[in-house]
Amino acid sequence: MELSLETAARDDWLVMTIGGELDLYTVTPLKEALSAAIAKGSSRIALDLSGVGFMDSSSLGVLVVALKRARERGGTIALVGVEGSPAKVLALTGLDSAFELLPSLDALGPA
Amino acid sequence: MTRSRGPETFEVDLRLRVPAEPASLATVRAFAASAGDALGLGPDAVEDLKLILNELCAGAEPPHMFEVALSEAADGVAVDCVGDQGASGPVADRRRGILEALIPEAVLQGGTLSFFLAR
Repeated sequence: MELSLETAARDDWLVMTIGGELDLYTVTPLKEALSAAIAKGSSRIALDLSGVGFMDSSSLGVLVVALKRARERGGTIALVGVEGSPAKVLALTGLDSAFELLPSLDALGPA
Repeated sequence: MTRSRGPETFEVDLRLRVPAEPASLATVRAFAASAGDALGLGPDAVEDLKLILNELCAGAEPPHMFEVALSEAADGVAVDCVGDQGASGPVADRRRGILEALIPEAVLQGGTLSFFLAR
């Protein structure tokens, strides 16, 4: 299954909406998009995972690296709509407390 | 395990052998979903099986093959898996943590990891 990735600005956040299944094979476009966004100065990034049906430890690793880089620039990575497989992987690894978890994009502020 | 169908019986033993590479992960998850369902696992156990087999295949490295066999057991499914090469690093540590949480009683013997998932 291919990964879909859409990017939009919302208030002072960069929102990346992801759809599909995130694993070692499919995560590369997200990894590159996060790296490019942070390099261009975006440090408040919201990842909408509500359309992600599966997430593994490899893709979680990409999110952890991005979170570290964003924090080095005074920013953060928020995970939006985390349920099912992504929620389970975050809980099993204890990383659910490392990220800011938001129920929906509405929690970011005005569209 | 032998399953009855009228006067006949048949063995239920489902196997997958794929190259140990990232491109195989979707196939491994699809196999876990269909085989787990066919062997009577519930939705939560099937999701666990998908994650477990995905992590084990992701932990294997080319040119090895990833092999898994599922067979019906009393009250669940027995799984034998060959492939994980025991890599190290942060991602491997997270992978190991997930596996230890989901299958704490897994046994590694002669390169084969064996575990049981209850229905």
